Order: sequence, then structure tokens, then C-alpha cells
Amino acid sequence: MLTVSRGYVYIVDMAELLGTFEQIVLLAVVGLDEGAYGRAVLREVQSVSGTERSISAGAVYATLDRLEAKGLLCSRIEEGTPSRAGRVRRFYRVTSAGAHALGEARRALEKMWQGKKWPLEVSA
Amino acid sequence: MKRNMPPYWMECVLELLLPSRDRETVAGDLREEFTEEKLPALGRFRASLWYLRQVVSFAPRRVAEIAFRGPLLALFCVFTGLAGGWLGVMGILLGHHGRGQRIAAAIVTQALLTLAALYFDGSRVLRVLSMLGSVGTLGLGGSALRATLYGADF
Repeated sequence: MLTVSRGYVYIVDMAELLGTFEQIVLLAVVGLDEGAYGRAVLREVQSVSGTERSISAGAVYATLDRLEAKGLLCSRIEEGTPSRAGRVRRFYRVTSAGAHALGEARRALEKMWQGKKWPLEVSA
Repeated sequence: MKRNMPPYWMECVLELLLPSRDRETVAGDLREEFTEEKLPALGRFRASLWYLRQVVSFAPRRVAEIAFRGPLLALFCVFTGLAGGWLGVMGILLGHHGRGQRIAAAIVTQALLTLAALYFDGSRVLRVLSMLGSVGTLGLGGSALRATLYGADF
């Protein structure tokens, strides 16, 4: 949440705002819709970020677990395929709380960017 | 068929590092990616390296979880490792034959207890293993102290 007081902008409840990586993972789940299971999310995150080498499966699954624990994602189990030796798949879906959190994060960033010129001009 | 799969030992390590909830799903996801994508694109050696990197990426979180859940076990294992290492060095320096094997056996036992505790996460088994680990550590610590104070055989 952004609060303006005496001309200063304070970011209140910063912990409530999503981190960049959390936003990427949530948006990947949104984009994949019904096909958002672990491997698909991993591939989507790696392709979107364009840095396949630096994003590990551990980071993506840890974020998925954290988002689920926060109630921003929910999951369901479905049967596995022969290529995964019948091991089950976990499909993810963004909850209404997750959609709300994404919206909040976007609004906060847009508000911060208002009036800023791009590319940024900073004095050395 | 096995040529199309990730190395067996890496899959075992991965399952060891995953919480029971994710054991089947994540291992399945990575096997699917390995078989369908990485192996044809990168070849066996580089695909195996890719798989190993993914396996390793689960380690820090798992270690943190275990340290949080079983701090006593983690503490005892660290202590045993240090005590065992110190005794081993002393054994070598003082030339006492036979100690090395016993120290190695004690460390291996302790490591096996830790690995078992990693596998059976957050259950009654973990508590029993922690207890066994503590008893083993106390025994090792006592022997080390006795050896230091009285020069007795470890």
C-alpha cells in the first residue's frame, strides 16, 4: 500500500507486496492457465527471464511452495504420464488473493514510476 | 530404457532432498524434462550435469528446514564431525593404530542417522533418530574426553 503524508510517499506493509521473482512465477502460472504444472512453470519462468542457466528448479519450486503457503496459489494432483514413470503431477492455479496481490504489486510499481523519465537520468 | 533416464544415484539424492509432499511430483517433472528436452538437446553427459545442478539447488532449502526442525540433531552432527575429525588427526599424529577405523565407523553411523532423519522428515522417526544421534554423540564425546584426560584408548 502507498500512503502519501506531508509530501513523502511511504510504502506501508512492504512485506505484503510481492517480490519480483514471485510476480514472475505467479504470472507464469496465470499465462499457462490449465497447463500450469511444475515443469511447465519452470520452463516458462526460464524462457521469460531469458537466463535459463541462472534459474534453478529449486528456486522455482521453493517459490511455488511459498506462494501456496501464503494462499496466493492452490494446487491439485493429477495422474502421471509414462515419460515420468507414472509419477503424479501437481497443477497450480492462482487464487483470488493471488490475483489481488499481483494487482497491488503492479499498482505500486506504476505509482512509483509516475513522472519518471525513461531511460533514467542519474548523476554520476 | 535406462539410457533415457537421469542417473539413478542422482534421482535418489533428489528424493532425499525433497520433502515427502514434493517427492513424486518434482522428481517426475525433472525426469520428464531430462528425458524429453535435455537429453536430446544436450547429450547424456551435459544433460546429467544439468540434472545434477537442479538436484543441488534443492539442498540449501532442505538443510535449512532440517536445521529448523531438528536443531539438536544438526548440532550433534556438527559436534560429532568436529570431535571425530579432531580425534582422527590426533590418532594420526600420535600413531595409535586402530582408532581411525573406530572414528570412521562412528562418523559413518552418525552420517547414516542424519541421512535417515533427512528422509523421514518431521515425524516420530526423526525424534527417535535425534535421540539415537545424541546418545552416539555423547558416547563419542565421552570417549574423546577420556582419551584426552587419561590417555586411554578411544
